[in-house]
Amino acid sequence: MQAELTDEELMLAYGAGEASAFETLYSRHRGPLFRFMLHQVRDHGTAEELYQDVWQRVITARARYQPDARFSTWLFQIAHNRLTDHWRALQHRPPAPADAEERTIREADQETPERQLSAFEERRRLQLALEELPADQREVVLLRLEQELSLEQIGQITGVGRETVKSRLRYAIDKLRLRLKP
Amino acid sequence: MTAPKPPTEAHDDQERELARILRALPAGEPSPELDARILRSAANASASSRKPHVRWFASAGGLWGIGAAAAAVLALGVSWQMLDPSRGYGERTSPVSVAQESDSAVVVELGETRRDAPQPMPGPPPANAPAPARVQDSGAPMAKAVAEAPRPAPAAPARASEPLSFPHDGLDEGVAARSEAAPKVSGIDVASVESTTILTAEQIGKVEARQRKAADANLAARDAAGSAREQSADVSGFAAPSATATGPMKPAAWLAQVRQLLAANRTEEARASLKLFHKRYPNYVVPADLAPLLRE
Repeated sequence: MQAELTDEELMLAYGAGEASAFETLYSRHRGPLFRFMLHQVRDHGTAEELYQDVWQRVITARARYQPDARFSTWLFQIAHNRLTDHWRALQHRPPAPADAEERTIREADQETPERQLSAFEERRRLQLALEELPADQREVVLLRLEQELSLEQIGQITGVGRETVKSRLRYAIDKLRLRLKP
Repeated sequence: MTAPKPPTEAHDDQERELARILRALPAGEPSPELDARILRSAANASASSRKPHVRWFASAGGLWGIGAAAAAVLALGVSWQMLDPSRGYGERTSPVSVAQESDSAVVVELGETRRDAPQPMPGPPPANAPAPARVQDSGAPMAKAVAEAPRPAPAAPARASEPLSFPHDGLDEGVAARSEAAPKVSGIDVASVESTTILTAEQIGKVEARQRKAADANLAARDAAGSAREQSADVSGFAAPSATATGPMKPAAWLAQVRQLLAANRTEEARASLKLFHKRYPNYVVPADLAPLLRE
């Protein structure tokens, strides 16, 4: 029954006191949101901390929620704000860890068959390329590639205009493609 | 429980290729403990937010209920006061409160015990019928019906089977003289009326007829009021206490009259009068000298 409801309807139901609506909503967005956070901060513990903060803000704002925009847009907007606070607290984006390449290889080894070396190499390069991107470009490209959000939605989330989003996306994709070239 | 995909803007070829590789990256997931913590927090928040909502709803409902009750009480109070502010509670509840004199009409106040009054017998009013009674109990429909009903012809004088008693010896000469010009019921003794007695228009007519007789007798024997008292006693069937024009005789005077009857060797009349007295004033302690009369 609730699976047929839209995200916005579920959020309104939760705001009205129906706790089960939140469970459905959470199950729909937990994976994409966590991956977005993890790819941004590159640390599982930090990602979990920020991820929990995002959901806590959703819970707190349940009564004020107005379905002016898509729920996913609102959710990632909260995530963007939380990440901005995170970067502001660090004053600058921390550099990639020294053992980034080694960790990438280790993670890939756990989940990729050794015989798929080319695919593994692709993922490793993409991972490194993402880490090298500026935060604003990485955020835009992740929202675009992972969530398939439109430029307008990304603009709403990040608080910039469509052309700015388009420009950041173009720079980010060019860098990734350049990194992926053999 | 698959999440419905939001409407998306399609990837171009470059984006599609990058997205394919990106999706192949190790997908981290929040730990089950973190999931449970978040869901528990959401449930707690929802439960805590429901309680104030219920409290607000209850308090709002309570306020509405209190307001409605207060308005109802106010409306009832105003209605009660507006019903007939000129009369008190005791007067409203008395079967027949008082008969008032009037030069043009007989005014009889009817109490609540007249709700089951029998319908008056139909018939044209007599030519010499007195002016119609004006019923002051405006709030009693049955009283209006009684007042507007055709007045029956004066019937024969009531006998002992009729519970009503209409004393005449309380009429002073002035009242008797005025009754010539405008017949009226004066001095209906509440004490002589059974609490369950119903005064109908027919009975009023009888009263008036008897009253006229008494008035005539008073005029004929103005100097002999005592004989008139005897005549009224004969009409009523037993010696009833007299009453003034404004109300029933007081208990002490009533008892004194009983003693007078005893002194005149009219024992039966004294006993009947005392029984009536005891019925009228059940809480009044009958003096010791009269108590044996009541027990006989």
